[in-house]
Amino acid sequence: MSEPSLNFHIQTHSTQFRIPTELIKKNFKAIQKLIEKQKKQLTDDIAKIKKNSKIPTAMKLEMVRKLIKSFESFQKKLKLAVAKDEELQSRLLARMEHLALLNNYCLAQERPVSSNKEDADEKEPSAAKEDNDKYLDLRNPNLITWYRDQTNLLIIDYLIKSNTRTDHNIGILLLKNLAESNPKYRKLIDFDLFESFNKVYLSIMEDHDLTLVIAWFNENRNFLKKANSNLEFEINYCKFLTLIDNGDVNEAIKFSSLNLSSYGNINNYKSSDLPNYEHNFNRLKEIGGLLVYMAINEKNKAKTENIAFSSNVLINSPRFHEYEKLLSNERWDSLSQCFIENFTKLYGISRNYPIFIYLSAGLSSLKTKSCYHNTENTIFRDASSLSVSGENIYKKDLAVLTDKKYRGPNQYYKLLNKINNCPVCSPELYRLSRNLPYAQLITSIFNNPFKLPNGNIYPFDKLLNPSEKYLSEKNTLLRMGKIKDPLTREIFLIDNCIRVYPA
Amino acid sequence: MTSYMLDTLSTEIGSFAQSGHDHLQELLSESDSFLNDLKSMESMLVDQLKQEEAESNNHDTQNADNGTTEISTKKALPPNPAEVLEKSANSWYKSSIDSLKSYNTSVNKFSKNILNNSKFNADLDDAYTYPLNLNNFPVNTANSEDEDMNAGYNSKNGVVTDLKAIKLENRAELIKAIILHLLKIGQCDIVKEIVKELSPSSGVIIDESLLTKFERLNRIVEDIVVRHDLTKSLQWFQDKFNEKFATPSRIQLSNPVPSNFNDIEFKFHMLQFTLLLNGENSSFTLDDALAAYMYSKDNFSKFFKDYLNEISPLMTLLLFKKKNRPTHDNDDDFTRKHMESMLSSFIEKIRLSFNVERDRKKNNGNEMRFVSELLSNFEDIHSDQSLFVNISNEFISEYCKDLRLSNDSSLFQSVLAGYINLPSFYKYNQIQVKMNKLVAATTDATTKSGDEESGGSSSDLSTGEVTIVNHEATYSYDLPFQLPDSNRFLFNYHPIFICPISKEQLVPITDSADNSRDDEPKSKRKKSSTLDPGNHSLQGNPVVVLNFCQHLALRESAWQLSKKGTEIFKCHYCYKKHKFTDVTDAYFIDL
Repeated sequence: MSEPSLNFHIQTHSTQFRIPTELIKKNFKAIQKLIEKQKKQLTDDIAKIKKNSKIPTAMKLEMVRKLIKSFESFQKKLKLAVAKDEELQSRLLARMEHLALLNNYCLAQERPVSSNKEDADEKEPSAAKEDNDKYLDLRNPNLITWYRDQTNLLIIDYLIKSNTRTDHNIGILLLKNLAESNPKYRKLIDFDLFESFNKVYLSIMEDHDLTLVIAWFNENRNFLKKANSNLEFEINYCKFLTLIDNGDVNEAIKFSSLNLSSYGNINNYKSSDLPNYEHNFNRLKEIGGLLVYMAINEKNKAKTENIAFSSNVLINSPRFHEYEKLLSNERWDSLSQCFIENFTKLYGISRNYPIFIYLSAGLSSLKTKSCYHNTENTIFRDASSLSVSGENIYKKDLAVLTDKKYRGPNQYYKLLNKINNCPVCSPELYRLSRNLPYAQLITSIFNNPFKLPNGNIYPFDKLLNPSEKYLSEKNTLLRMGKIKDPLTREIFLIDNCIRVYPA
Repeated sequence: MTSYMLDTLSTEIGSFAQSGHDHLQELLSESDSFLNDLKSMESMLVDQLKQEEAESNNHDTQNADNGTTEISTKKALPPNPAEVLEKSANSWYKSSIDSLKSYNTSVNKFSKNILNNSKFNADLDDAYTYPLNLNNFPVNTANSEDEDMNAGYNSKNGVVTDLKAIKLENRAELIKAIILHLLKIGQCDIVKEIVKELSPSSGVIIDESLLTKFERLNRIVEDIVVRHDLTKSLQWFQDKFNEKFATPSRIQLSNPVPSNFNDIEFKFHMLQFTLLLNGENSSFTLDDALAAYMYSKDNFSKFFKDYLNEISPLMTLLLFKKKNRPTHDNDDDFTRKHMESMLSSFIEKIRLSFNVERDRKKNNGNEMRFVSELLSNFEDIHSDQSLFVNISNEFISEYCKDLRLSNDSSLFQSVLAGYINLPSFYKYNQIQVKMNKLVAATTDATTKSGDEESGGSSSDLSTGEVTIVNHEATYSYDLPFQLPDSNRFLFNYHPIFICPISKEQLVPITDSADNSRDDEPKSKRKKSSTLDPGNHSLQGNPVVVLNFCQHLALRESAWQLSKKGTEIFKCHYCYKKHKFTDVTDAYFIDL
């Protein structure tokens, strides 16, 4: 339908430029604040000196020295901020240069015929054509190497973002290792941002701790307001439920009247924000009942034996279970999802891990109906199936193998000692691609398909290619005008074999 | 030559970076100058203090005489420093803010021209038409596994919990694929860390012997890429060669394809020769030439038969260099330069004539291209890093082949296919969105499946067929669009047959469950040779050869054409007449 082009790569890499720019903006604001603060400090101090013009010189000197000290510490901070800006700018430049490499891997402008020359200087500076786009030359090994780097970056990205460990982030470790041989990697991925993204998420989900997400919220308050974020509500709601969970009912009621009640008022929402209102309002309505639930539950714990019938009914009512759910981990899920949504929106990060997107497209474009679960192509062995090795089927049974089942690829690759290079067949990715559609393909059969009388079709050249050793069985047979089916080991006269025509 | 978007991007980023650099440097220099003002004020005050002290010493002596004029004398001193400072602080502030403002303008300009320009943006999420069953947020495997166990035991609302389990399982599979990828790119050290991500209860074992082999690979690759040292890789080729002799023809019987390292090994020898000839630091000496010559004598002979054309130009370099490296002291500048230009023009000539040759002959194309690259970069071979990276990738593929693993990282291959085919998925989605808008305009709210759980049962609404059962695609679930074939050469893994009549793709016999069928009576096989193609169980719908013309079709198509075996039908290509009994089953077997 559509082929990989230079422009498409630029478009799909826009996040690579958005993130540093957002960070530059943030840093810029920090610089601004720093200057304003310093300015205020300066004015105050100078005013002091000015007012007390009569103080002795020694004191003046002291005050000036204080000024110098404070300004020097300001300058230190400023230098750090400037260095940060430079680092971020260098990322932009490195990414642009990395993309610009693709320009060297494009097909010469007159594209269709495959006989174009590889040499770079053959490309004519012909006037920009039609849509001004260029297609990539997939035969260029450097382009493939470019994609290899890209794959590694996708893996790092995935590992950093999906990390669940609190001791360290493997994605970062991997980045460090890879950057040793290729320092460019550090510039091509916003590892620091992704790492803190992951940290905030984990602090919510694993530690049930709100400090990081609150800090993040405060840092980005302006953007979040504009984007109709519901994060603040989620945070407060979580806090409230945690208070209840801990039994601080009084505290919780105070907290809710202070921080949650305003969410029940429709006038506090922008017109574009109504879905959030409804959602929040419904959740707020539940809160009251929650207090009752708490009371019953308390009692319940106190004396499990003799519960009043009425409360027993209540405990088994569906509504009661709703409350139970409210106090379960659900609130953390919903807060963390809200956080992810806001974070990805702010930086223009794709909601799904990019590696998924490329994998999904790649796997479904490679998935054929000839693919099978090839357990050979891995270093992972299932503990249960270690002993089974159908390796020596030929030794076990010296007779010919005419059973049709051996002619399926899942059997014949193994029997012919042939390696299956198909990625979809590799056991890991086979599993991943289970729910993906099959690609629409066209017939593509090896050259010179040659059918033996038993129905097996082989590539003629490989089948009849004499082996290196003159006296080998194959060569002897060939000299007699015979051929042995490598799979079934039947022997046929070559004259009885025929070329077939798939298309 | 260049592309409009790339140009725009690079100029925008260039000017953005420049502006950032300039204005922030201004900030620094302004604060520096203000600091200088402060410091000079400090030293002025220090001076003043000294002066005052000196004066007050005088005063002390004077004070004894005429009492209290101290304050008045002080007033006479230079004007209040506060005003000077105020002025300079104000100017510092003003210019700083000015610099910030100008920088802000460039930030906004960049955002407007690139980031918020729809031409430069394509949302990756829009190309995610077929979501994988994987969580797009971190999920702690250890925790959720427990939950899952519980869910599995006590609840029967299978689908959701099942999907949850599948997602966890798939995460483990993806991690495994990543581990394999890292091993194949030579990142062994980190693998031990990542293995911890896999739950220990899953019963997965790593083949330790393979792991150690990957460590060797790691060292070899590092040598090639980082140190440009081929010793270890050549040693490996030698080992393999010896192995082949140690176990003669064991494979010959069962393995019709002799493992053949020739082409890649050839490249390594050629590169090694070039490296030797270059010597240390690319300074030609007679010793290097000798070393290279000795090397070629030892190693090239076995390639002469197949690669004479490629070897000879490289060998010529050897001769030429000897002649043109006489003793240095006699050379004046001019002759040396002359020699050098002659040398390079000579190499150029060899290269050109070699390229002509290359274009004329198509066999050994890959190796010829390699030799021509060697020739063109001969003089500073070490600066051509991509050559070493590419050859190391070829080595990896050879090494993996020897380990009986696929020749490249499966994960990389898939991602590569993803990169190449993503434009189609993206475009399809764009069209779909437009169509949906149209549809939505007419019929109000049809069932819009949320992206999250759409993998649940069946998702393809256009065809009535069930496409996904238990989170597994059935054979009737096809991509709704055709992908470009221009890149197929990269991904030619299976023989693919599409029936010219029914347009269906051949599904070979791959029942993975048929391990148990070993002892099944032969009756089934006999049955399968009867006319009825209906017994899908083992037989399926195989390829058939039309016996009179050797054209191929799927059996079911032939069955339909012959009106269930009752009529004579014509071949779809050549119109030769066949009965259904005139077709025979066939099986593609790649070697």
